[in-house]
Amino acid sequence: MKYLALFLPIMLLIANPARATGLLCPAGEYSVRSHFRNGYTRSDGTMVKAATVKQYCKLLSKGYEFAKSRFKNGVPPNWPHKQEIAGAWTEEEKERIIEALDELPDFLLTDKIIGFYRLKKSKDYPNPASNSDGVIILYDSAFGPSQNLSRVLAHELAHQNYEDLNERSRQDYRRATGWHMELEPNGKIFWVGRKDDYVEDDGKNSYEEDYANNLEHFLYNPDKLKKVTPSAYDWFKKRFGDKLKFKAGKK
Amino acid sequence: MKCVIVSIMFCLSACVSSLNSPTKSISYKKMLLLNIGATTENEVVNVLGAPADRIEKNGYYTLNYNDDETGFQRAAVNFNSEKKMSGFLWIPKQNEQESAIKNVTAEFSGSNFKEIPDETNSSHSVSDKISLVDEKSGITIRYDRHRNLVEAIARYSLNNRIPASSEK
Repeated sequence: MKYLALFLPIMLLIANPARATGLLCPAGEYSVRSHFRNGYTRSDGTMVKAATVKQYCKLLSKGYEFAKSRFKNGVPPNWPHKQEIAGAWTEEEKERIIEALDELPDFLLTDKIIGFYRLKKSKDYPNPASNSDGVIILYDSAFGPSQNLSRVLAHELAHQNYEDLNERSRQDYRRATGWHMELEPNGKIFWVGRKDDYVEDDGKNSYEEDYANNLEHFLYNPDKLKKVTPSAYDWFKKRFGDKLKFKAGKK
Repeated sequence: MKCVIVSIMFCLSACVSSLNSPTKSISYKKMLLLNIGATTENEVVNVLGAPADRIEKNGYYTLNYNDDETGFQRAAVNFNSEKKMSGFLWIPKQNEQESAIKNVTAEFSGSNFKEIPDETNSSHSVSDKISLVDEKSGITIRYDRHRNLVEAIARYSLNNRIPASSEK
């Protein structure tokens, strides 16, 4: 009995840190630890002031459920850019990610995503994020005040979404948006996109990048996509319909 | 070797005389009948049918072929300035025999392939596509390792030269 009294507080601390620090969240909520939050702008334009956030209970959400087991430490296995080094997740950053994911269409939050990794600086700074085969990497610059984190995540998740399409759908996208394969006289095979009409310049690099840019614009700047690349706008509208939109009240 | 060449020429001439339709279904087998360095544009059109489009490049030109059913690109045939076929590109469908890397490498079992990563790999999005290149035999296989899918197979003449100002 004496031992039980001794170990019970320790067991509680391990099982539920929030409870151990005096905050027990009811069912359907989770504990957000105290942290300092830097000021930032939400994707709908709302300014969020810098503040010290006290520990509190927050309603469980789709973003939380998706992200909670996917925050990974270290560098992803086989990550090719050896000069990029690992950073550490902060409570503030995790909350920002969860908030951003909550805004995005559910179908982008696919089980194929195996982890969010936090690296310090991209080799192509100020690039805010990268992706590879189920892995999404967020760099320091993703959390800067001028960065729309939800948009950054939408773009990276769009890369995964392209990977998840079946081959016929991928071919359909490429045909609809003017991509074809060519053979150089020296035997090099390469993809060639339409001559112009890209919402972002780097869309010319590959159809995957073009797809991610266009899906991102469909969500965040549909007027531009409709004007610059109507073929992509029509393709996304036909393919995803009402599924490809923000959650209610968000933009 | 002579027998093979004679057979190919016979088949080509048979195709020329017997096939007049502007559109024909294309296949990898038909592509292999074409003789790199010798087959002319007319002979290609007689075997494969009318192309979907023709793209002029600096020093060469390409006829593109699409799939009858889906309209997706299926093949591209290059011609040099002498209007002789200088190479071709075949894009297999997902479940075709040529979409499996083991089948394709078995077909070119005598080749010595060098692995070249996709040039579009960048820090932002790391892909798992490579090209398997045999510069001695004039073969390139573009392969998506992640999906285990052959994206394209190319055969080309080793005598090809790219003009210095070749426009992509």
